[in-house]
Amino acid sequence: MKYAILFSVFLASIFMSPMSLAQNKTEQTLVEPGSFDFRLTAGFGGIENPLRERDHIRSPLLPEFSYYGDKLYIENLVFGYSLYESPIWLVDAYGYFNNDGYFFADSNTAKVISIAGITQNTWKATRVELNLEDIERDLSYMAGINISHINTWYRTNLSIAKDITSVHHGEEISLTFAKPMQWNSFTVTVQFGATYKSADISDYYYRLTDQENTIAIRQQDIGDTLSPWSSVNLRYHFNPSWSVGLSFKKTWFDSKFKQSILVEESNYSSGFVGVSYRY
Amino acid sequence: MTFKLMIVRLGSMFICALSGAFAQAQEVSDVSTQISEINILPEICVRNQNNAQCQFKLDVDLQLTAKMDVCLVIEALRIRQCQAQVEKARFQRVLTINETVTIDIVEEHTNQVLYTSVLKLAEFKPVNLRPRRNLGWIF
Repeated sequence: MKYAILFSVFLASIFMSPMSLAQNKTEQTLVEPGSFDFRLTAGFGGIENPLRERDHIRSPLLPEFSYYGDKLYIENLVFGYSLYESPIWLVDAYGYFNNDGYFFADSNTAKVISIAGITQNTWKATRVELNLEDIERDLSYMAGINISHINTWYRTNLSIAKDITSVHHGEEISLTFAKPMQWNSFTVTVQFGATYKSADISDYYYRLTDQENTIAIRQQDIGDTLSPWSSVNLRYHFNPSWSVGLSFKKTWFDSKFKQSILVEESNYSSGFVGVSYRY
Repeated sequence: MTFKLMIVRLGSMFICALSGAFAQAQEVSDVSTQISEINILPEICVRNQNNAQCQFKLDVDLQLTAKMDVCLVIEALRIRQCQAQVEKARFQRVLTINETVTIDIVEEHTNQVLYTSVLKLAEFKPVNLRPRRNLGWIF
């Protein structure tokens, strides 16, 4: 049912919008094939951890990397290959790390996040009988299809991906609306969307296994979830190299997450503010 | 800046760069003393990447110091167009070229070359830009 709702909204957004060329495209939304881009931001930011007995993930640095070839592209840990590309439609095969794994600061997660430059992720020792800090979950890499439709006013994105690392065998569907705006050197992107996660993902990350549930807490399956989110990105460019930026994203968990002993907060924020240098 | 406008602007910059380069490279012979003034337009024809040929209207405006029989000659296109006993001549015709051609102004009977100009063929190659995905960190 949720698949149908997401798909219906996606179709409606496309057919209700003008089918003209993307006349509102800003320069920074276009990239020349064969170009590398590396930007390092120094400031403050991280990810608020909605899990019980875990600290937030913070970092003073945020590195961002991208490469665009004729078909291939890499944006940080996202790898994509363009199957079809026109000024209006983009269809990619792509892969990315599922974000639920970031909340569990096990050794693998710490390693990857350290590579990503988001360090200082620590977590407190718990005082409750159940040792939540011992609960580990693997990161998973999702792969699937990413479809974008660009019109004069906004950009619609539909992503359907499945776990290819055999961690939980779950699926994710994301629907995103993005509105990029530019006033001279000032760029703003406002986005909102929703992410559907199949029961395999939710139950793997947020439900205790029988071995972990040492005090026999009565648990219910979380099931499939649909979590909305919104974000805003602001950036002012002093010149092609230097800029200041602020990005902020808020995600509201599906109410089903209340059934999880691991989840403490019903929403979480992530973001970064700082000065950026582009190489 | 819109996508379309950007393509047009980049294309224009490319053509300007080409025009500048070709204007410098244009082979113009010494103007014969029998010609007091000559204007040949255009100096360059730009074709789209997808088009094999380039079509344009050639306009040659010629002022001679004395009346004579002159011809416009484009060997590559087997064109020879003459005007008899003129002091002021104008040649106009639609041409289709698929390579750079040489335009000669000659004296009809002696075939003495009074003026030579090269009309360059350029190709419009818009810079192919890809839309950035802006996926960033998926948190």
